[in-house]
Order: sequence, then structure tokens, then C-alpha cells
Amino acid sequence: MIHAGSKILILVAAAALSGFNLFAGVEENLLEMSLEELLDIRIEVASSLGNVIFETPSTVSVIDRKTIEEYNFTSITEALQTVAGFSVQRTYLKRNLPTCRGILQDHYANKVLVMINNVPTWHAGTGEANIDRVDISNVERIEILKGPASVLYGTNAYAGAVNIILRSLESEGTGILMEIGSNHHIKSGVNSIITHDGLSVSASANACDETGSLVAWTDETGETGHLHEYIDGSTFILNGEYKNHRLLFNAFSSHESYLGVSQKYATGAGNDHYMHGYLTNYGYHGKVTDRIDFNGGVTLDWNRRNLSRTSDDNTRANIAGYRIAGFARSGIRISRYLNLELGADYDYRESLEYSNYDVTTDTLVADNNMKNKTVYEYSGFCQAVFVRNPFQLSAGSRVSFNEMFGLNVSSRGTVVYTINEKNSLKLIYGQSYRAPSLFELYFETPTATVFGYENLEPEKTDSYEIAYLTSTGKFFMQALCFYANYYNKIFRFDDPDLGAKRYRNGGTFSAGGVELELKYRNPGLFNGFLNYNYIRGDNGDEYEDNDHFNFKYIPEHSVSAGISKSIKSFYVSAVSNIRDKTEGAFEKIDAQPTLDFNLGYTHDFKGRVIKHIFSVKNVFDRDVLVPEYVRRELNQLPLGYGRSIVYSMRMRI
Amino acid sequence: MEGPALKKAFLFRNRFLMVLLLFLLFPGISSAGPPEYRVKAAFLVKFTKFVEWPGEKEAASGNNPFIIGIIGRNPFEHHLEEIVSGHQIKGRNVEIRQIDDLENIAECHVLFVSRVLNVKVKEILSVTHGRPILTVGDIKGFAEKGGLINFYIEQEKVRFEINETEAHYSGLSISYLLLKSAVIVNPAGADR
Repeated sequence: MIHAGSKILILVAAAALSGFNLFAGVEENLLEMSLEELLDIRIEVASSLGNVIFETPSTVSVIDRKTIEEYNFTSITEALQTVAGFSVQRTYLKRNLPTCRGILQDHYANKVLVMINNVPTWHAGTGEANIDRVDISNVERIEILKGPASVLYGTNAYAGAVNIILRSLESEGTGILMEIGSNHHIKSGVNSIITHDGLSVSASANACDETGSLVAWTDETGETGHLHEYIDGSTFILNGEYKNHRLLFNAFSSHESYLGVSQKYATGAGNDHYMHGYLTNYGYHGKVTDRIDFNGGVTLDWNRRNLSRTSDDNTRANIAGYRIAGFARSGIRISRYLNLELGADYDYRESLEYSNYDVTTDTLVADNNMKNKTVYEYSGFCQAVFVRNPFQLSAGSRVSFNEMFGLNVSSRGTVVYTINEKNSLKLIYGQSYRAPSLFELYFETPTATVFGYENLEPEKTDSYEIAYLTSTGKFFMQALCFYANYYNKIFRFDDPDLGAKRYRNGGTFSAGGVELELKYRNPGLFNGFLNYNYIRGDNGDEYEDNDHFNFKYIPEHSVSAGISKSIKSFYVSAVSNIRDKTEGAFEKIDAQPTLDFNLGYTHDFKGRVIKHIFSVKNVFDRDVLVPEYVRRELNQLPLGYGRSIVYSMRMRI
Repeated sequence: MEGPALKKAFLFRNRFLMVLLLFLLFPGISSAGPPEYRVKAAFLVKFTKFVEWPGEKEAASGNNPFIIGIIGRNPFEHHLEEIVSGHQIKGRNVEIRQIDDLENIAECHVLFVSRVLNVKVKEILSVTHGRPILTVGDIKGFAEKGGLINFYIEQEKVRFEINETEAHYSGLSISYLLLKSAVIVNPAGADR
């Protein structure tokens, strides 16, 4: 029997041999050829993703603008649902929780970092990020980094990171979006880009309103009723560049349906849940010398949630906080083969309030012990990158100091082996670290029903991955396997001693899986993608045999597939997402398939390109259900959307 | 890790190896054509045979290198270096330079403008305008904006367009043989 280590060596050797054989086929002397001969060579076209994905020492999935338009994704959530190893979950308290590799988020989604143009944004009090703060019409691409990313991005990039890259500042002009649909859905947006004498500015504004689909819902007490499931709001983005300076401003307000503070009509289910925030970032990038780059900036990130606590909506809660963050990065070219990346980050977080107040009298009912709580954290990282064809080796560490939790060191190491132009193999080891949020530490209801815990330990994880990427003119494939251990995951539990709910750290648990992404692009025939995810984890975090652990609620298999075809000025596309059956708190939940369909038509009108798209989302009007894993008083929750019919019109002036 | 957890880890590793083995078979279906940027690198060097720089004969007698600059992310990787290795252009040794500062553009004989840029194409072309620099782009609309040559792909073959008017202003002399192989986007004389 061959030892496993030897198997790996044999496989790597096989890969290397197959790669070199391929490469041998292109060693003809192109310079000896005439112009005509060169013009006649059929080439292997480089992927539109360039070599970024092939060489990035991380596992990255990218949803680019072309894909967004081809499948008419109408929100970032819709696009993320198609990524292998990624899902968007829902709890009774919040919709659209980005969830990576099955690591569930309880009341506040703070385990996946969300960034806009590489600028992290999250609520200082609860740690949660909001992926609805950017409208998808303003997105150039979405980069999804799966697995621990703390070394690169610091705390909160615990399970993964989503980087929303805004539309390029290259193409001047104005774009207009109009959208109408069922459930009184109406959306409009405008994006304008101007460039003048080195200054480029893009301003975008979007507004959406809908009543949402009507859903029958039974609460924890058995009370039945109907709810409107909706998400709407408005976003504004100002993105500018002048020489070495960059400025980003993002403001948003988002309204969504909500199932009450304790999953009951009596505690606000059916009333509005409102979020808004402002993110301002100034950045500077430039060269210090020929060998040294510098990139730095400061960020102010203010966010507030406002949610209903009673059926009459007379008591609501304000949850507000802000962060001030600064960063400095430097890339140093030590030699032809060796680069050094150095960085330092500082982050000050303040929870301003978690105040329950009486709407009718505007008086404080409870401050929940969250007023003016602060913490600071600073960190430094160093990563060495050695590149010598065909290998790229990188090793780095981040040392973080948190005011409450002291020092932590997270490390990562990667090997990228470029088999040839279009085939590469990556081995990745990474650790992550997330300090508990101020909410998890200090929250305390005056009725003594829920308590934070000041002695919590930071959450940590480490993971091992091997990824293989290949591309030809028409195919792209990324396939990977991973194995990860999770330590100290924070969750809320029923403390019998307190007679209340309290935060605590869970036991160590492990998970492993396979993620496969296939893309096929052949405009003459069809374009398509197929993403498959297999994941399985153990029950190491089960507490005192209570039959509650993270991976109980995660489907082992999920598949997403899309196909599109253009015929002259028309195109047709369809996307299907299938989640395998899974456990709920009490009983199994069946597999959840959905199908979206789009039909588009593009034409010129007085020199302007106008695109019309007719979409049916969730064609079969299925009640898509997800496990209710937070309170476990209900088996499942609706994901929050039924069938909708949408007509969109996009025009570029 | 002990007991069942260890067993599970081994189980994962075996599945993982099986999957990897399958994936490693895939290189066999890779296409037979040379990579796009190897061919574009060959074109880049080939162009210089059909272009005449002012005073190039005098310059050849000195030790000055022939400079190919790349602005933005280098998509050629090792291909361009391999193609020019052991070759001279216009009787001069070839030097490939990464251009990070617009002030250094003037040193280049050929400037390749990559798709991924930190600065705007307009800014680059405002520096090269009227100078004997063969600007070669890989960006839609590059030649219309004032670049001299721009690559594009048609039916998996490399094609290029030439802005003849801009070439005229640059002081470079472009051979008829090269012009006839290109799509002319701004014919000389069109704006005069």
C-alpha cells in the first residue's frame, strides 16, 4: 500500500509531467514566422479573469459584471447564492446573512468580512456586515475569498471575505436603470462617471420599494398570520480618484421584513426592520522608491439598526456604533524573486447604544448595557512572497493586540505551483482570529433574559486546502478540497444557572469539503456554469448532548447551475440553485430547488444602447425553507421570497 | 485528534486524493494553441521590424538599449523575456522595463499598455502624444483614443488595429506591409 504522502508526490509529479508536455507544444519560434503566419495562429485566449485567480495565493471565486448581466442577478445575495461553498442564510432577526463553508452566524453576522473596494465595513457594536449596502448595478465584480483570511484582512475575516468591487472609473458616461415587478416592486438607479484632468468621479444612486410577497407564518406560540417578505431601500456611492488619492463614500438605508426579537408576533414579527449607515474612506497609494510601494488610508464606518420589539410597534430598539480605522501597507521588492508585504492596522470601535425606546413618547425604556462601550485593536503583518517560475511561495503572520484579549498570532502559508499557463495547483494553510464583538461581551437585558459574557475567548480557526485550477479557451475549472478546525465558536445558549440565555464559547469542531466550479464560455453554442459543494462537519460543538451543533443544519450537497444563450440581439438564461435536504431543530427539511429565468433584448436608440430584461425569479413559486437554528423553537423559516416577475431596462447615455 | 475524528480526517484525505486524481487528468484536454500572450509578445517584437524610429541608425552605433516598457500589470509573464532573449532590435540589446511612473514613459521605444492599469489611458496617451513611442494597447478603444496599435481577438486569432493619424504625429514611420495587415481606425489625412 502506498503511503498517502507518496500518493501526493506521485500526483504532483503526474500533474507536472502533463503540464510540461502541453507546454512543449508551443515552443516553436514565433519570431521566425511572418506577419501573415502569426495572424493565422489560433491561440488559447486568456481568461477574462487574467492570471489573478491562477496566481492569487488564496481560494477566490469571482462573479464578474458579464456574469451578473448574463444571469440578471438583481442583488448581491442572488449572485452569492450561486457560489460553491457559500450561501446566504436567514435567521428570525436578519435576512441575507453571508455564510461561508457552513459556519452559521447567530444573531449578528460577524464571521464573514464584507469589503467595498477593499475597505472593510461592519457594525462596531455587533460586528455584522450588510451586503445590501451596495446595489448590484454598481458592482464591477464580487470577489469571494473562502476560508480563513485574518492574516490578510484582520478580525472578522474568520470564515471568509466578500470584496465588492465597484464599477470601473474608466468609461465616462451615465447609466440608467429602471425596474418594475410583481409585489409592487419598483427600482430606479443612475450612475454617472466623469473624468477631467486626472480626476475621475463616479456617483451612483439607487432606490427600491416593494410590498414583498405575502407569506403565511406561524410563530413560536402557535399564533398564525401573514407577513410581507420584502427587502428594499436606497444606496448612494461616491467613488473618486485624483492622481494618488482615492475617496469612497457609501451611504445606505435598508428596510426588510422581520420575525420579531423572539420569533413572535407579540415581539414585532411583521413590523419593519430598518438599517442605515455611512462609510467614508480616504486612501493614498504611491511609490516611495522604485522598489517600495505604499498604500494607506483612514476609514469612518457608522452603522445603525432599528428594530421593532412589540406587535403595536410602539417599542423599538436602536443599535448604533462606529469604527475609526487606519491602515498602512507597503510592498517591498527585495530582489527579482522575493517580495515583502508589510502592513499595520488600527481599529477603534465604539458601541453608541442598544436602546429600547418608546416610540410614542421618545423615552428610553432600557439601554441594555451597550452605551459607550469601546475597544481598540491594532495589528501588524508581514508576508514574504517568493516567486520563481513555476513556484510561488508565500508565508506570513499577523500579530494582533486587542485591548481586552491581548496578543494573538495568526499565520498562513501557501504554495502555488504553475504547471503551465492554464493549470495551477495551490496548497494553502491559514489561520483566522475574531475577537468577540462588544455585543457578545456586554449585552444585558434589564429583564435578565439575555447576557453577554466578558470572559469569552476569541474564535479561532485553521484550515488546509488544496486547489487545482485549469482553463482552456472555453473552459475554466477551480476544484478544491479543504479541511478546517474551528475553536471557541461563540453562540448563545440557555444557561440553567442563570435561568437566561448567555453567550459562551463552543467546543472544537471540524469540517471538510469539496468545492467545484466549472465555467464554459462558447458564445457560438452557449455559456454556462456549474458549481457544486460538498461539506460535512462533526458535532464537536454540541453542548451537553443537546442535539444542537453547527453542522446539523448544513446540507451536505448543494448545486448551482446556469446557462445562457445569445441569438442576435436576444439572450435567454436560466439559473437553478439546489440545496440538499438537511436537519431542522425537530425534523428533516426537504431539498430546496429554485429556478430563475431571464429573457433579454438589446437594441440601439439614437446611438444609445438599451437593454430590456424580463425575469421570472423562483419560477415554481416554491417556499424556500432554511433551518431555524438560533432559538430552535421552530423547525424552519422561509428564506423570504416567492415567485416574482421583474422587468428591467438599462440604458447607457 | 483521536478516534473517530482521526478516522474521518483520513476518509476526507482519501476522497480528496481521488478527486485530485480526476482533476489532474484534465490538462489532457487543454487546447493545442499557444497562449495568447506568447503570440502577442511575438507580435510586439515583430512590429519593430516594420517601424522606423527617427535617428535609429545613429542610435544603433551607441550602447543604448532598445527599451520595451510595460505599464500596468504585466500579462506576458516570462514570454516576452523568452522571445527577445538572444535577439537584438534595431541592432541594440533589448531591455524590458516595468513603467510605474508616467515620467519614465519618454525613455521607451515601445510602450505596452496593459488592460489592468492604475492610471488612465488618457493620461498615458497625453504623455506619448507627438513622441516617437510605439504605443501598443490591449484595451478596447485604445487606438481610437490615440494609441498607435491595439490588439484584439477575432475567432481565437490575434488581430490589431492601427491609428494611422496618430502614427503620423508621433514621427514614427510605419511600413505599408504592417498597415495592410491591420484595421486602420483613423486613416492619415482624415483630419487634415
